[in-house]
Amino acid sequence: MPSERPVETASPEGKIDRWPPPRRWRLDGRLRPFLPEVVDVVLLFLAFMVGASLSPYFLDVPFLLDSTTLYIEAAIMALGMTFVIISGNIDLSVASILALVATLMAVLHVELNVPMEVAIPIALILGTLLGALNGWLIARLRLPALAVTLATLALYRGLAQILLGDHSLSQFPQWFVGIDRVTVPGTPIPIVLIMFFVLAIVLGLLLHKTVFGRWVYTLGTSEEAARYSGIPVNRVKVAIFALNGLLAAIAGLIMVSRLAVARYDHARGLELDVITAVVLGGTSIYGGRGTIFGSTIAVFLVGFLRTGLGVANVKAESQLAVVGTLLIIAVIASNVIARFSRLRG
Amino acid sequence: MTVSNLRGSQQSSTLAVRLARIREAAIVALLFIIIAAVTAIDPRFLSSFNIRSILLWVPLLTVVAMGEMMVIIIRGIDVSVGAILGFAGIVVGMIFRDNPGFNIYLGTLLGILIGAALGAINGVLIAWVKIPPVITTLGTLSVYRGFVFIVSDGRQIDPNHIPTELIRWSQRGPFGSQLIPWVVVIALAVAALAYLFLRYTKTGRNVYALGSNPDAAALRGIPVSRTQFIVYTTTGALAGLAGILYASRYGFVNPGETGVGFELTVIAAVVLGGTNVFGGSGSVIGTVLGCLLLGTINVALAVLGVAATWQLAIYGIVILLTVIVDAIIQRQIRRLITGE
Amino acid sequence: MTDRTPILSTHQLHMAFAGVDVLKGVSLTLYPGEVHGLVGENGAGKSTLAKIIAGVHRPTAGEIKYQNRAVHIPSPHVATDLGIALIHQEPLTFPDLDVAENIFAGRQPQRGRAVNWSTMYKRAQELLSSLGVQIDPHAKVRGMSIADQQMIEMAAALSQDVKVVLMDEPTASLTPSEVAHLFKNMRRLRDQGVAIVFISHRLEEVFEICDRVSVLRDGELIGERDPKTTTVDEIIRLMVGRPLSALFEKQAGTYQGEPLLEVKNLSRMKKFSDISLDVRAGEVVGLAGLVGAGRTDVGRALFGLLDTDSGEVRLSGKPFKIKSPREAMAHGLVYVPEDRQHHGLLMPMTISQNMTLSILERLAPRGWLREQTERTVTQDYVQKLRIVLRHVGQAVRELSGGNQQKVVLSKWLLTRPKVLILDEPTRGIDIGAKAEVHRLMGELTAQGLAILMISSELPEILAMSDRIVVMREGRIVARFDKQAATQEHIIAAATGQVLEGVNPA
Repeated sequence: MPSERPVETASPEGKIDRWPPPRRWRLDGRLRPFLPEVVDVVLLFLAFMVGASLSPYFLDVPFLLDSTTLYIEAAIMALGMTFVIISGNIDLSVASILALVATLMAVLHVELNVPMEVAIPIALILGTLLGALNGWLIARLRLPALAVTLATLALYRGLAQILLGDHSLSQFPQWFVGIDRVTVPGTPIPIVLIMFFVLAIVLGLLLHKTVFGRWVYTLGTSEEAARYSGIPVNRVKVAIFALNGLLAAIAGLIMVSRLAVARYDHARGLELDVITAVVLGGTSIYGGRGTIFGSTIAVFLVGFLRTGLGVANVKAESQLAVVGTLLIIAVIASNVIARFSRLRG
Repeated sequence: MTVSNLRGSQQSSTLAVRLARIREAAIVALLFIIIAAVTAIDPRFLSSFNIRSILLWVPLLTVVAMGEMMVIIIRGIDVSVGAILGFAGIVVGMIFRDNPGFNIYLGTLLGILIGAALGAINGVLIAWVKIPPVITTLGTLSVYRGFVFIVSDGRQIDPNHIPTELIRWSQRGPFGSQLIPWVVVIALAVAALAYLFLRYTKTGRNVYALGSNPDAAALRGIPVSRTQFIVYTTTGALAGLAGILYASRYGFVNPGETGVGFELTVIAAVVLGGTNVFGGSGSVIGTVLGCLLLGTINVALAVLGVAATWQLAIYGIVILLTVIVDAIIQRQIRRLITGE
Repeated sequence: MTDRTPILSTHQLHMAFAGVDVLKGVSLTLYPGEVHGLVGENGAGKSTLAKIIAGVHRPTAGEIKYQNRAVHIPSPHVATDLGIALIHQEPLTFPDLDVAENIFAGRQPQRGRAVNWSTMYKRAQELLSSLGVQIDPHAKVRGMSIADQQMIEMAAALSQDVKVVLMDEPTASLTPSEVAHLFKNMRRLRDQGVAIVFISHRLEEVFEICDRVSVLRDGELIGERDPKTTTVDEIIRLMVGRPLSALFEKQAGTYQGEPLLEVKNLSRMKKFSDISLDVRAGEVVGLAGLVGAGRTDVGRALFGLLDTDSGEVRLSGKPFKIKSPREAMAHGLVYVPEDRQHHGLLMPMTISQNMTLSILERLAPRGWLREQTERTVTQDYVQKLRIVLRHVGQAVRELSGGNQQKVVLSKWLLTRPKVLILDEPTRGIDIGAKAEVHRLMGELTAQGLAILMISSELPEILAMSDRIVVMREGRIVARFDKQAATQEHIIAAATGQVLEGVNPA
């Protein structure tokens, strides 16, 4: 299984590498490092224009706002995945954590009569623990993130499948179900959208303004150097994956509420949308670079794309092909941009 | 620089060789244990029906596993094999449906070519555009899956559309034998070819070299990108072949089912068979044994009445435990040998 | 008189890495059928020169002539085709493949289109036997000793039509009898007309096997001698001779302080054993030795980056089992790594981000980072250490080596350490910055810090250390006081020679 980083060439005594000689700092340096995010905003705007010209629905604000509830789970998970990918790792198991948490909560409440007030916190804790397990295996046992999360992608969803089989559970209390229908009183803004933005702001602050966030970037830039600098690398890794698990759990609760049912195959394949959004949002797949803002914009970009395709009656499977293509294009574009900015200083 | 007295570095390196043999022996042992245990619980396990079940399930897996094994050896990953399998199966299935009497050998060749083309796309993106394999194949997985639907319009290929000759491949074998159907022979042939390729061709040896030390390989003039491209294209071709074998075995091809999640099974078999997730080593025999073991476990579970719903979790545990145990053992050995 | 047309010559070869000159105008001539020794201290440029000839690096200036034609050697593959082979200091092998394949990687003998294994094993065996080594061609290379891996590389070189063989410290891990075997093979090759470059620190070996010796110092070819007409002393003088006065000399310090770091019998299998030393407040202890002697491993072990099997470490008198750099930092012990680019700094990140990296928690007690605070703290040290930059928001990779090193030092000084382990603190930086770093060390010791300085630059060791400890092959082999030490003594101890008047540890 791969080492995701580009290989660095052998070096002479002193291990001095072939860095490009210092270039003069040209142009308005302020916005330059955020080129990908700027591109995203432009793309979002363009997508909006295209969508509006294709279908009058797009100009209907309440419709647009309502449509965001369809991919709010992916959006929330993209926030966590941003941390993971910036730190130089990957997590393929997020959608499976979502499913397992959803089924477990449903089983607790519907079959074991645990009150929702108890089941919900348990679900959140479980998600965090599932993520922490990923993190522990990767950090402590030094296993490749790809292999571990590929295995847990199967294991976690497999456990969900064992729990529920092909059944669905849907006896949830009225107040729990249909959260996607709830809007801020007097406006068409769905409350889950507000929740997402709150999470985005909190996590954005965490990533960009705290010590922990700085550690995440450092880890992704060079794990070795981070270790040599006294950063508790293992603990940070576990925390990142645990956070991802927690967010997947939150997404799971929302999904159950939205669909009013819990099944083992919830969000199957959703990790694709999540990873695509994060990469599209300017986060480098090699680590060390990325923003919450970028991921947020990109997630709406992908969401609008899906909405647009849906409105145009494109089937789900074909949408899948489009998102897959988008992922590949996003990585290529990201490579190109990186090479471009490295060449011109 | 060594401090302690090296009692013969030869010993430590033959230790590594012996461990590889032990690994294969362990799989065989596990195989016997499982068969013995399940037979003890339910003597019907060793019925010819069950043996045929295993023998029919394994070829599909083996064919693709040969390719995935090479991918993992060169430190890559291919999660799109299931989608390629489905795509080739659907397209050729449609051809069979719309052209009754279409030559099945030609159809098989077509399936292989389609698979090779899809694999080549992976190869180009990974080897020359230099996108990380996991991202590339995650993307192409979705694209290919999507195209399966678009192309087939969501309709499955029914048994009456599939040439009986093709289905016969899974029912009869050489000399009219019922126990070793042609699909098994095909799979054995593929495994044999893989073995010959990996052992007796330059490119095959380059695969191991590339996985063992990519830097050294580049310095020694081994064509890195070309080798990567060949591996991914071959894997695609094998997945395409598997698509045809699927049609033969199951008698239908369904865009929503065929090959879905198959990559997980393949990776589990490859990892179980002793291929190192860090790259550089893996054997055809080991992988075949891994497929056999996984197939046996599958049928054993069915016989024991364990619902198919346990399958996914079991694959997950298999991959996880194998990777963990392998990593721990390797680390211990490395510490003993090099002190690192 | 044999034909004296050179087989390979370099003309004014110049090599710079990241703005630092590693080779300056080196013009070396190799003749067929001779063993040419290349000696010099760590960092003199010997390995770099060999790597350029072998196609691993491309020189920034200068020319190479091969068989009287100017050639371009852009890759090792081209070098191999030309008949130039390099035996690396750290062998480049394929651990999962067997010996025979390692020898013939990429060029396996074939029967038609198929790899011919039996021929491969036979030829491998022949090559190995001709080298006089007992290696089973069927054995996997993983776990083999460096010595064996070197033999395998030699066999690989021999399997091609080599005309020039460059050997980088080939005898470092060999027993005397293995060395004798190696020399026998080298002589055989030489008699067949091959030109051999023999890079080594072991001067007695150089004198034994070489027909000519060239001395590199600070990237320049200082001189060429015939071993038959020169002495070890003269060679050593050429290697190290430089005015010591150009460097900052640390005043004999007021180091009556307590031992802040005490190490007793520290051992780790295969890396180092029985290391005992102590460093007192206000004192600089210089840790000298050759590359690979194990000094960096000791430093890393003390900093918690490497586990140890046995031994004790005391800080300010109290024993500690340090398991991580974080713990070490908490107790006031820090390690400034030798690899500035990969371990000391995060190149794409800014100067202030790098500088504050290890004290973030202190700067942001409730987790909240404030750029202003970071910048203030950074500016403070930029001033103190006179770091030359445009602004602290610059990427640290744009700085010169000397300034980069100052950033690394600032980063660690900000943690308010009591014990500082410096690993090659002035490697790859210009004279001016070197002097500043030394001056800084003097100030720090005056303030009562204890410094353990790992260095391969003898003048630095001699100028800065109050006491000197010499390591060789994982053990401490000599200890000197400032007055008693000379460069010759240190090199002798580091290379395992015995000079008169030197007491081993």
